[in-house]
Amino acid sequence: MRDDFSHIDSELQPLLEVLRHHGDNRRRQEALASKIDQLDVSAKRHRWIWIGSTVAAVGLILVLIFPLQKETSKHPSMGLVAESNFTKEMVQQSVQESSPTASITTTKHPSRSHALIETDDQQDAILADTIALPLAIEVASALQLAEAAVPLEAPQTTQVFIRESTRLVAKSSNSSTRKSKELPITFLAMSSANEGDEFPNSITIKDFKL
Amino acid sequence: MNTHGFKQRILPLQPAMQRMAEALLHDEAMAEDAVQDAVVDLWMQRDKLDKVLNIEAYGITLVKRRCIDLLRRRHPTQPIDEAALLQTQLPPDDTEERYQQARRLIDRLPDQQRDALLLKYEEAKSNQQIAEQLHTTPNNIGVILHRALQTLKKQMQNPINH
Repeated sequence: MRDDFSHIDSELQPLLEVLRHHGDNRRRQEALASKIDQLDVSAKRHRWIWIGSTVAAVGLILVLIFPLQKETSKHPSMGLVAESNFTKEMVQQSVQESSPTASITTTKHPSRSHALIETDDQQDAILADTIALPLAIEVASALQLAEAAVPLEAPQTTQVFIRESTRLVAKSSNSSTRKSKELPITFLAMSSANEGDEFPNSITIKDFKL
Repeated sequence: MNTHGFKQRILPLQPAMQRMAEALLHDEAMAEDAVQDAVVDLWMQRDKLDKVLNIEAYGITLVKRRCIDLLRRRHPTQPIDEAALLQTQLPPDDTEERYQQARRLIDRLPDQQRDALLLKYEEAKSNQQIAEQLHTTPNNIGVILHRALQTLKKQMQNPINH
């Protein structure tokens, strides 16, 4: 409500102008203070949104990195059987104890790492019967299935690959027939399987399916 | 600089910024917009303001730039002497002194006349609002204000007797 003072004596007008000016400035300062408060609230809100999005993004990345963990929750019937650490040496020892002709060697590959299990004959495919360690059972089981899918003509090789950092697959191939078969090894969560490493020196198995 | 510190340092600059904006724009409302824009600019830079040695000069320069932007927008076809505008000096300010003089006169009025006068001309309230605040009628407020102005006029014409 602004008065134009035109109806007031000219003598009084400067005085009233001073009052009006003073009041206007105070109101402007209050409006600015309110504006600053709004900006502050907005800045805080943006900060929380940024923190929330970052947390969400990290969560999403974790979910994408460990998809097998997600799978476990979808299939609770698989059940948690054991939590064990297996090393390359343990697997190698178990394989060799059960089948003297079998051997595990590790080789480097430009794009991925793999452990190579070389077999001389079909007998090595029954490693699962004698190896006690669950990892070896699983590997052997997958090897059996993979080998069964490929005509058994020597020389035959079966390899264990690490796919997508955490997934193990057994791949059986026949160089003469050029046929191959790849089957997943159903460990549901593994860590320490870094891309570029050799066969992981330590594999933590939280869940597996026999 | 946190919000409290920002308010403490920037809000006292508002009268000078407003004066400068009015001197450049010759429009009170536009000047108010320019000052608000400049304060938002300052807020955006609040983390760097601690390093600014003369915050008043910095704020005034920001206001000048906002005024130049507004002038360009208002008269897009007219050339603007930006350098001259940036050189504009801050008009001298005696408003606080004049306000204190005015208050000395007003404070001599009877309480009701003084309150009504300040609510009307400083707080820019309507007679209706003043009447509600002083628990009387709008018509009575008109009479009180008339008497207050008459008394003030007499005081100004004959300050010795008052």
